[in-house]
Order: sequence, then structure tokens, then C-alpha cells
Amino acid sequence: MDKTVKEYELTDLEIDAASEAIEQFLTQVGVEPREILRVRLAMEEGLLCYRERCAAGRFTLRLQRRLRSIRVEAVVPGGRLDPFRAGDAQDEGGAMLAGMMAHMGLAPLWQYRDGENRILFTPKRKKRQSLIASMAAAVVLAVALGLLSQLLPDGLRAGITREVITPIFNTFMGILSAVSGPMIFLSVTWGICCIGDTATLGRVGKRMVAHFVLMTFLLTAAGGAAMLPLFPISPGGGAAFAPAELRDMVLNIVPANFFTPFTEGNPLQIIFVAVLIGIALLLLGEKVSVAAVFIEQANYVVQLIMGAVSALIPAFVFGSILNMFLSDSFAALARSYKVVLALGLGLVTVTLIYLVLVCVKLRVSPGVIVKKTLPTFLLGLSTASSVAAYPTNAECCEKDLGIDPKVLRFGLPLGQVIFMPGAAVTLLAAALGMAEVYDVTISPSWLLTALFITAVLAIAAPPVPGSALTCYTLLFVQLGVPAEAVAITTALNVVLEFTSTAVNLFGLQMALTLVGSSLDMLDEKALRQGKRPAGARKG
Amino acid sequence: MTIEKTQNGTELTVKVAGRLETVTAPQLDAELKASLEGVTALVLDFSGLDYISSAGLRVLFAAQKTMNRQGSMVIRGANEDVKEVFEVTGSMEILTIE
Repeated sequence: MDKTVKEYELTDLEIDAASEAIEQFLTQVGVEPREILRVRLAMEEGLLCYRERCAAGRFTLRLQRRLRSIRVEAVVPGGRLDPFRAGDAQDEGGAMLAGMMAHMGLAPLWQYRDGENRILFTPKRKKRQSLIASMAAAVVLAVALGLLSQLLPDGLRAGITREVITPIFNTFMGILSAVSGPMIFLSVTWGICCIGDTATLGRVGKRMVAHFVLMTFLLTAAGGAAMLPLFPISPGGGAAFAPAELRDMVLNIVPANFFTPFTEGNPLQIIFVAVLIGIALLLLGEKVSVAAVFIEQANYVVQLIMGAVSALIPAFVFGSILNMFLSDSFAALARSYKVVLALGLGLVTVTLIYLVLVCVKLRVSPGVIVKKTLPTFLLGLSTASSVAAYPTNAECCEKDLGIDPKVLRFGLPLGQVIFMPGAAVTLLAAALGMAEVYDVTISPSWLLTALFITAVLAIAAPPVPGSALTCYTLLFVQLGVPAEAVAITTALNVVLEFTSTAVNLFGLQMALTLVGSSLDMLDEKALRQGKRPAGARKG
Repeated sequence: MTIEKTQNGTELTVKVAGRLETVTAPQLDAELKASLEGVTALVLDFSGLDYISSAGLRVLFAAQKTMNRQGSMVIRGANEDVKEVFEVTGSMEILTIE
């Protein structure tokens, strides 16, 4: 572990010294140069904001690396001030920072605790090889070796499965299950807690969060409805669906005590407990600051562990797919094509719903919207990265869709983290597809459970490596889908992520357009105009 | 950081060399504020500039805002590092860089 803690004065000279220290540290730990630039500039600008507005004359800079986690944190004593949202104050410094942050796609964490403002950046190290490339290699190698393994005697194949792969698989699933429950619990609890820290959001933030949460559920339901014709739906135990079944499903969300959700690995109950505790912490505020700190730090711990586990994902996928061939159950892999079909239907539905909503409500031509949003959509489709698409997305939202920058500077970074209708529909498609492959009964109560969990996971799952794997694990445990399905969907996710990201980006643009309109922060004339040529965009 | 000014009628060229960081940005800010009256074309020659921080960007944005009212401003000769700062921060949307 590398850790440096140093105190500085809030002066020009010391801000420069701190900036240089950040640059040196991040270079030393292997962060990508462009990322170093972003963090340095954002931190400089944050400190300049504090220097201008706070009476406090000092700040502490903490630079830390632990395994895969890198933290750059500034602690500034004084009055409560979030420099990244200070653009609500009418000064150029705050507005400039907000604009810069929006363009750079950075989403630092700001907190106010014990009379101190804390700004935290967690940059990532350079990746030696992308996860996508590793996963693709794992799948190809597993299929190749699996096909070759058909030449081996049955006894040998069964032996390898029984003595080698199955124990390793079970161990990995054990680790995954052990971590995924706490991860989602801490993520949901901490997310709710943080709403208190964002009390300064005002009407923009509250409207936006409400829209994101509500639309995630509605779009997941709509996407799910579009997929249903592809799957056999059982009324439930051979009888007509009874209200009692729904009642039991809802009541079973409430656990017998706070520990059984974790010991039994029941995701719905874990989410219930997380919401309960999160709300309690939020309401109690400073009285339970120690508990809140515990939750925050435990969240970091679990995310770090998840990040470490995620390094094993390609090996996990390789082993699981190879095992399917060794145990002659690769038909499951072949039958998973329906996940792709279902996903296509679901994503098209989500896209059309938002397109119709915006076009009808704001009286704009669909062709105009499609033309304007297409570049961002294609970027998401080709990179599977909302971060890579951020500058294009931000420019489209402001210049082509006419969304006020005040909406964007908060909405874009936040929406990237919590508003992912594409991801929710992907999870649901995977659940439906795998349920059919493994002959799990899809009943109305099963569907409602799936819908609820996928929406919650899409909102609450943190954007860290291994998050998708965690989501599939939790989802399939709750829905009674065998653990083997996790490997298939994780492998499929390599491809599905591209379409999911593209729809997430489109959904976010439309959501921000609607929110902007509801707050009178949308230039409807600009929205209805045709797409401007690239050269006409400046100023 | 060194600053050299050359005026030709209402066109002012300001050559900035060295590092435009938090401690030196006020110097450029003061020089520009003292010199922009009556200027209709401001050229910032950054061919000797090694580094720019966000404090430096603030000074440029303030100058751009002034010149938007009275004429034009253009930045020339910026090296790749400085251009990358402009690109990463989206400053290219606000500043004219040649």
C-alpha cells in the first residue's frame, strides 16, 4: 500500500504544489495520462473554488494506492460547499468547473462530514488488456478445447468435470455469492444515505432522480412485456394465478431477521434490509455519522474485493463453458440465442417508448431526434463505454437537444451511474432466456420478482468491474436459475453490453430532455431545429 | 513565466512562455486586463507555453468573454500538451485555437 498525506495552505503556490504531487503520484501508480490530466485539472479547479469562497486556509491531500484501488482525496475544513455543483451560484468559477466536469465525464464524490468538505477521485490504472478481449479469448478457447475434448474417452471427461472443474466452479460461485450480497446491500444503503448529502440539489436534482427511478421501472416492465411472447409463461403451479401468490411474494420480501437474507442469499430481502437501513441512516443524519462512515468504508472494501474477483471472470467463463462441453450440456449454450432475440425486442421497445414520449410531448419530428442522437448511439454501440461517448453525448445534449447546461452538469454524470434502462432490459432478457434453457417455471410472480430485481440492480449496482457478474448471480439465485447460467450470460454480456450501452445513452438523452422541459430548462426551438453541421457548433 | 506584448493598431499580440499555472495566472490576468481596452483583435501566442492549469484556463475564458464584446481572440502555437488540456476540458468549444 502506498499512502501520502500532506497538509497545504489554500494559496496559489500550494495549490500548484498539490497539483504536481497528484500528477507525480498518479504517474507512478500507472494511471493513464489523459485520466491524470482530468483529475489534476478538476482537483485544481475544486481547490480554487474553495480558495475563493471559504474562509478556511488549509487543505489536506491524501494520495493512496491499495492493490487495484487508487484514491486522490482533498479534505477542506470549513462551511459546507460542493464545488462541483456551485454553478448554481451565479459565478463564473463554479460555472466553469461544472462545464469542465461535464465535458470530462468525471464524477468525483463530494461529502461534507465533521465540518470538512471531502472530494474524492478514484482513477483507474491503465488496462493491460481489456476485459472484453480477455472474455472473447476465454470463450473462443473454451469452445475450441471443448470441441477437441469430444475426442477424449467419456470417463476421462467425466473425471475432469467431477474432480477439477466442478470444485473450482463451486468455490468461485461461493466467493461470488459471499461478496455479491454485501455489495448490493452496501451499495443500496450508501446510495440512499448519500441523498442526504445531495440536499443542495434542489428541484433539478430531485426531479431528475425521481424520473430516473420511475422510468427505470416502467421501461423494464415495457421491455419485459415485449419479450414475453418468446417464452412460455406458466400461470403458476398449473392453476390460475392467484392474488395469494402475489401477496406471498410481497410478504416474503420481509425477512425473519436482519441476518437471514445474507445467510440464505436472498437478494430481495437483502435489498429490503438495505432500503430500511439506508432510510434510517438518512433520517437520523449526524446522530449516526459513525454508522454512515462504516457503511461508506465497508462499501469501498467490498468494491475492492469485487474488483479483485472480477480479474478471475475470464477464467470463470472459460472453465464453465469448457465444462459444458465436457459434461455434454453445451446444448444450453446453443439454446441461449433467445436471450439475444429477447434483448433485441426489449431494447427496441425502450427506444421507441422514449422516442414517442419526446416527439409527442415536445412536438418534434422523430427524424430530427434520431439524426441528432445517432452519433452518440453509434459511439456507445461501438465502444460499450458511456465514458468514451461522454464528450459527444454532452455536446449533443446541449447544442442539438437544447438542454440547459445546469441540468446536464448534474444529470449526465449521475444518469450514467444510476439510469441504465438498457442494462435493466438486458438483465431481464438474460433471466427469461436462462429460465427457459434450464426449465425454470416462468410464472406471473416469477416475472414480477424478475422485473423488480432487474430494475433495482440497474439503479443500484455500482459501476465497478465485476458488477455485471454480481447482478447475474443475485438475479439467478432469487429466480431459481442454476449457477451455470451465470457463466453463459457473463460470456454473452461481452456482446450484449454494446447494445445495452447504446440504449442507456439514448435513454439518458431523452430523460434529460424531458426533465429539462418539465423544469423550463429546455430550448425547444433548438430541439426542433435540424441537426447543425459540425462547423456551426462553436460558441 | 514571461509575457511579451506587441501592439499593432487595435491588434494586440501577447506571447506567453513558460508555465501558466495557479501562481502565474494572476500575472497574465493583470496584464490582459490592463491592455485590452480598445483592442479588437487579441492573439495569444502560446508557442513558448509548456503547461497550463485550470487557473490559466480561467484567465483565458475571462479574456474570451471580454473579447466577445469588443472583437476576436485567437490562440496560436499551442503545443500538444496544452492542446490536450483544451480538448479534455471542452475549451475548444469556447476558445478559438489555430
